[in-house]
Amino acid sequence: MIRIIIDREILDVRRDKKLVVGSIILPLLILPLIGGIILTSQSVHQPVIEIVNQNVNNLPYVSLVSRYAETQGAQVFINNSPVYPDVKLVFPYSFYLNASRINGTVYVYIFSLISSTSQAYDIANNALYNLAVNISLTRIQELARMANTPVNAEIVRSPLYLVKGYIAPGGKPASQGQSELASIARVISFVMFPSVTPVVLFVVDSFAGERERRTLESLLATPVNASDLVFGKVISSTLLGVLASIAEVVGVSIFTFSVSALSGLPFYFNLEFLAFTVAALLLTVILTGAISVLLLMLMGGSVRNVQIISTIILILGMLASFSGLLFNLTSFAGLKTLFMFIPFVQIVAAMQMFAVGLTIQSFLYLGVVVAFSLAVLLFVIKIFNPERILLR
Amino acid sequence: MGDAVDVINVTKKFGKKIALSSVSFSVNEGEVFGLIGPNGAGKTTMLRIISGIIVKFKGVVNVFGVTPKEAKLKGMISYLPEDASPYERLSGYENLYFYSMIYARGNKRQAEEMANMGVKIANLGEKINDRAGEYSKGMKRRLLLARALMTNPKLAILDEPMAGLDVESTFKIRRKMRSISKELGTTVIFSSHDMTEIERLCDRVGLIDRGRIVALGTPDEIMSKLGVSNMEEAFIKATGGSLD
Repeated sequence: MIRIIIDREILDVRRDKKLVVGSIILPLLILPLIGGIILTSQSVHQPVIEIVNQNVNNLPYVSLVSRYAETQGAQVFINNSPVYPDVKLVFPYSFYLNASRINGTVYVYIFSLISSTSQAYDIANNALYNLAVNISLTRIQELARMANTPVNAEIVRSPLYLVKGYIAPGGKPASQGQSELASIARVISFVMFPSVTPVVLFVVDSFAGERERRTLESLLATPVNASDLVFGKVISSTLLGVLASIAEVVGVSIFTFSVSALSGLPFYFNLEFLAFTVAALLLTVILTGAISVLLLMLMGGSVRNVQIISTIILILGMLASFSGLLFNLTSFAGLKTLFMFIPFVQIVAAMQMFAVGLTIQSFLYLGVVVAFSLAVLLFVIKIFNPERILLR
Repeated sequence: MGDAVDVINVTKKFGKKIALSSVSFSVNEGEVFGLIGPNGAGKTTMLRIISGIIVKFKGVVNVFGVTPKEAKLKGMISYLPEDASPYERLSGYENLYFYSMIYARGNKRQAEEMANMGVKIANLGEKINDRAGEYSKGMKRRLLLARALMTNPKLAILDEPMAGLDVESTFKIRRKMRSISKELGTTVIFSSHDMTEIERLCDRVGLIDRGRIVALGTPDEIMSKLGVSNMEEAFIKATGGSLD
């Protein structure tokens, strides 16, 4: 019987071109679009920095800051900016005097346009840091000369040399590739739920939509039993989810490849991670199916209830997306553990864990989601009441 | 012939509203039984209980000796809801075939035979291969009726089956309902507002008003008991209306 239900659902979906196109297009384009937006925002708006110099003797310092900022992609104007700058730096009259003293404190005033992005401020800040280093080096050399002690000013200024390496949450050494993959996993987990929204809405609609289209009552009076109906609909939704997840994987690959090509960093994606992404997306669809039929059974299938159910599921998905972006879900302690009780967060955590090499834990998390979804579906079948879906 | 359906003391509430109150009647095997009553009288609720859609109620309902839920699962019941619609993205034939596959439990040969029977009953010609979403209201209804009758059910429950049909279609469907009852022994329970239809088609009639059975018997028995000459007058009189 399940097969009959699935065949009918698939035939119906195949003829709903908008649903099929939406299910493929959204996951395919969402990440490349986000990447495009980031790149466009950087290339279209070049940060503008104005330097107001109040003393001609400050010029060597001003030039140093200006050159540094320009190499970082900023447009720099000294004393006469034709456009309103994102950041204005003021070198006061006394700057030169204080900078050339061995223990003088120098002041630079920095004004940031409140609606501006942080990029211009960051460039200006780095340029000023570079200036401070230069002044320090000059002073160290002067002190060494006065003390008649030969020193390497660079080492005195920066005695610490960083040797960078990576470790996985389990304590094992990790590669830069794994680190990059972990970052990619965060981005994917952020867009994972929004990108499968058409499929999620299809799952929620699978029962309620039949009620609205007045096909459900006839179906409920046939020899089809509750488990055939519930599993048939969830499985057919999952098949639509396969399409969406393949599209997402293509989208993610385009995004990652573009980032790699533009930044010059190596392309770190691998087939195992792609397969895990597909599995995670499919589980998202199955969990959505389980939660939506449970809520449908508890609340009833009226239009208003279905809207509430859709909203609840989308909010849960958003919480999972943001927790994936903002938190490191590979380790949990204290209050953060509570997050794991929010549906979908476990899937996001599993993706992060897989990316950093915690393979067993990641499959364990996916296993928990599978078990939970199955338990919910079996519970729904046990309490299945056609009257509740049809008349409440 | 024994009882096909036994409804004993059935009460159903939706919240505080009483939809059915101590309703009892029987339907004999092979008979065409009409359930008539004004809007909101409880006809659809009664049909939903017999078809196993509503399972929580007080009282007892037996369909061929088993509960409606069991009868439904055994494929003995075929139910056509009042406001049902076909799957609009599927063709008429695909709609019939989908339901045939369910009743034939996946046996394709049986399902095809059943669906072909449905095609004959629906009598939609070449249009049977068009998408059901493109059908007129009357064509959809014919398709749904065919879907309900093609399975040769032991009990066909039809809620307002002829609503929206033209004269010719109504005539053909009425003849089909009669023939499946007489030739195949199918028991038919249907609701209708059309008293002419009730008079012509029904062996017996149950008149329901405000959740209670107010008259039960053959159309002749009811008319004679109420002292009227047709079922329209019987309906008005039994439901407390005025004939003036």
